[in-house]
Amino acid sequence: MIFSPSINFHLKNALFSFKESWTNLANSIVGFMLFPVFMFVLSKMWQKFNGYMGNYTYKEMLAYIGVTEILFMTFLRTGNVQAASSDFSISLARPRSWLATQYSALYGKTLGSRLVLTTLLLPLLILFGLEFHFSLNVIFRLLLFLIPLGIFQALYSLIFSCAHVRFEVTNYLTLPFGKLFLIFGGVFAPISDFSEPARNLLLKLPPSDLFFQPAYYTIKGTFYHLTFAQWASRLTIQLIILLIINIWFFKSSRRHHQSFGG
Amino acid sequence: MKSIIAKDLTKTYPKPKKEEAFYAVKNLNFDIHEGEVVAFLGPNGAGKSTTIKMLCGILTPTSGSSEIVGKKSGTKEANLKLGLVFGTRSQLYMHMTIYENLDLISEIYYVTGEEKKKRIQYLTELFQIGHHLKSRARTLSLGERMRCEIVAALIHKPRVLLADEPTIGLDVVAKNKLREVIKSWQIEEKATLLLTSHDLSDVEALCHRCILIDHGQKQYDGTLSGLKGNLAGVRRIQIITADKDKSLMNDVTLIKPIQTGNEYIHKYEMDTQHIPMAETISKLSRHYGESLQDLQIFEVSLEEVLGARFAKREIK
Amino acid sequence: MLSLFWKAIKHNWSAQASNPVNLWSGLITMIVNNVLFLYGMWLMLFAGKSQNQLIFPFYLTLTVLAYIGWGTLNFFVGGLKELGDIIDDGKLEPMLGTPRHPLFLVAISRSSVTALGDFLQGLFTLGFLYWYTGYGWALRATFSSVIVIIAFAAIFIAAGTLAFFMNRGASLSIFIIESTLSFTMYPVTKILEGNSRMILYLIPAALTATLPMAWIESANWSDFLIMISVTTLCFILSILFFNFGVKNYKASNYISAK
Repeated sequence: MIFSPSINFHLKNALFSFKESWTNLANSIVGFMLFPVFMFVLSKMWQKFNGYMGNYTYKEMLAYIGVTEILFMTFLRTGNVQAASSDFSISLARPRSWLATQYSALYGKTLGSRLVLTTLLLPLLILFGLEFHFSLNVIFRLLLFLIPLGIFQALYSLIFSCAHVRFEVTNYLTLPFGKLFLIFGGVFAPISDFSEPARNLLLKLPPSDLFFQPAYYTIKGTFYHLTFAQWASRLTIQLIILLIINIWFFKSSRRHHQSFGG
Repeated sequence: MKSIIAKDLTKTYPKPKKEEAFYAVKNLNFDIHEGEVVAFLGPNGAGKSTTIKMLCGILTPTSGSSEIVGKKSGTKEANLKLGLVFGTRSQLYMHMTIYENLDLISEIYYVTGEEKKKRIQYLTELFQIGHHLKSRARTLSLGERMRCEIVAALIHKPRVLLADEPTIGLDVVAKNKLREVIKSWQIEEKATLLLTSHDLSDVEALCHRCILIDHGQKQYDGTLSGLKGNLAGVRRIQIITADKDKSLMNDVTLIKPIQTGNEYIHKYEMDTQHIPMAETISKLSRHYGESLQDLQIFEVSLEEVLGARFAKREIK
Repeated sequence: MLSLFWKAIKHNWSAQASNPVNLWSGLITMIVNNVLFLYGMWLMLFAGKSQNQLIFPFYLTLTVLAYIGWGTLNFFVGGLKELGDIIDDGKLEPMLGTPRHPLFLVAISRSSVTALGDFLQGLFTLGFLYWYTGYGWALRATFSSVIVIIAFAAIFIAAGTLAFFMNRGASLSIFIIESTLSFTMYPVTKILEGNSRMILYLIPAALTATLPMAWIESANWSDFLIMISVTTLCFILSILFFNFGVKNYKASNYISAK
């Protein structure tokens, strides 16, 4: 391989976690059971409350909800957050960085499960009566976003994994944080349908870059009141801030880590 | 009075793609009397845990039956007479203090009021956990926690204690301490103890009788010394000699020399059933004369006996 | 039984209180979270949208049902929500060897710190509802909240019991439980029309939202009786399902049961 041994290891680690999501497809499908119900109910909710605005068609909305739900269902999963912190003690005695190892694992896991769900979304969109061509477009555009968006989901999750090492109970932190992204990221309904001044404010917040804008792109082929360069630069700033928080939090967690039992 | 009765206890698990069911336990019969301390031995996968789980009602036997102090296993009456300790699975509430744990667990077993207070005080003293009462269970070391686990299991004064690997993972000091307190409790309350452990020093320290199972079937039921069979009389003698050129004693028929690779240490194996120990020692003294520095005699350990027994077992 | 229940609550809460930082941050963040969620939903559905205002009391009532039902249950018997995990981790086994019903022991085994935040939020919203809708509607909402506690309990038990029968049943259980909470908070009865209303009876939220809301709106006896009888039946069925799971577990064992 052309990469250094360390990068090689983390790539393999990510690939391993990625494959894990595909090993039991049947389980993923079981977890997917309520997904069409969510799509149906949420798009109907949008139709009832915001449909009159005419910014989207009902079918576009089905696809939008499908996409945001995939992104949200795989965002800050408590199981992944806790699993990442479970081998913290032993990892301190290993020659690999815990932060990097967990990051690559979380990234692989996110990408894997998002790909599984994306694969399942295509037949679902067709079943809901969306045109094949449009559905295919949505899927392809979503695939383009999965690689960069996975970076952010892994970084956000890792902050909570560090918190889980630092504090004993972190569910109460993860839950509201996830809710913030759910509401202010436009997971239930596009931010563009919110009234002012909320719309203007929410468009400026990080959740919109991770949920609303990519989902809007998948159905419209363009970002909402944003160029690609602007979107990318906003993400870059977010990335730098997340990296700094992660490193600081990891160091703080390491300092305060207590391993009970013996 | 019989405390534990296992009658034709059988447990099968269906094997996918195979017609034959897998017998985890097959027609197991044994009785344990009140106040007995019995070791339940066997290699991994022998069916020990399955049997214990059937005795306490966690699993229902495919056929056969079991009783705890005359009550059918798994019933409320049987569970009231039963204490359980799983070395690999805690029954303590990790977020609570030890006192809160004991308080709640007493309530689960219908022990209340003064009776509860007295019982907690008595066991706390016996097991020396008084200074941990205000500590949260999760903050204790494994050894300390295990003592608390046992106190929790004994809070309702059970007539039978089933202990599955209670010393697993403990260091020598914690292990000795635990054995000591279990022994004093058992003597004090004259309760029945059925113990499974891979650490045979636990067994030798606590039990007089053992039941050996393998492949789900009983292989032996009797005293520990009886388990050694022909090896019971075998002794190993280790001699330290000052003369590195001293040859091994040549009496291969009764006192068999063993190669050690160290010129100053000579080892022999003999059987007291064939040659008295006094005669052996006298022969060795004559052979080594003034070069004899030290002499030590060892019995064949239980571990060695079981090791030899199970080394040849067929793994199913 | 009551004494054990009381002791469990006392000790679970003393454990929570022993870490005041966790306790208060949990409570406060949960209240903040709920307020943000309510505010966010209001922004999305009602702010500046005059034609949606009629549904607002309906939405508020659902919030009351969800928060009080969910909060009370997790506050008092938080272990029920973790049933799937407890089965999966094998922590149920020692409970099977005691003289108490294992489901009761599971229920009292833990308590959720954040649930008090939900409960307080529910109470606050209920107070607001009394002012906003008047006494008749709000009283029915108060009574329905109690029924919703039983409904949530039935769903927690049935979903958790799945862990006896399938791999990753615990994750599925959490997924079902959280989805039910979400569906409870959406004004689904107002959203769906015609044949699509049938879906309301296929998802567990029928118990926690559709039936209570039908009675709160109509205030007639038939809806009341339907709500009570269906909820009671589901609760009994969920316990029977759990007992069947335990029987199945005891008859095979964890590995082969899966």
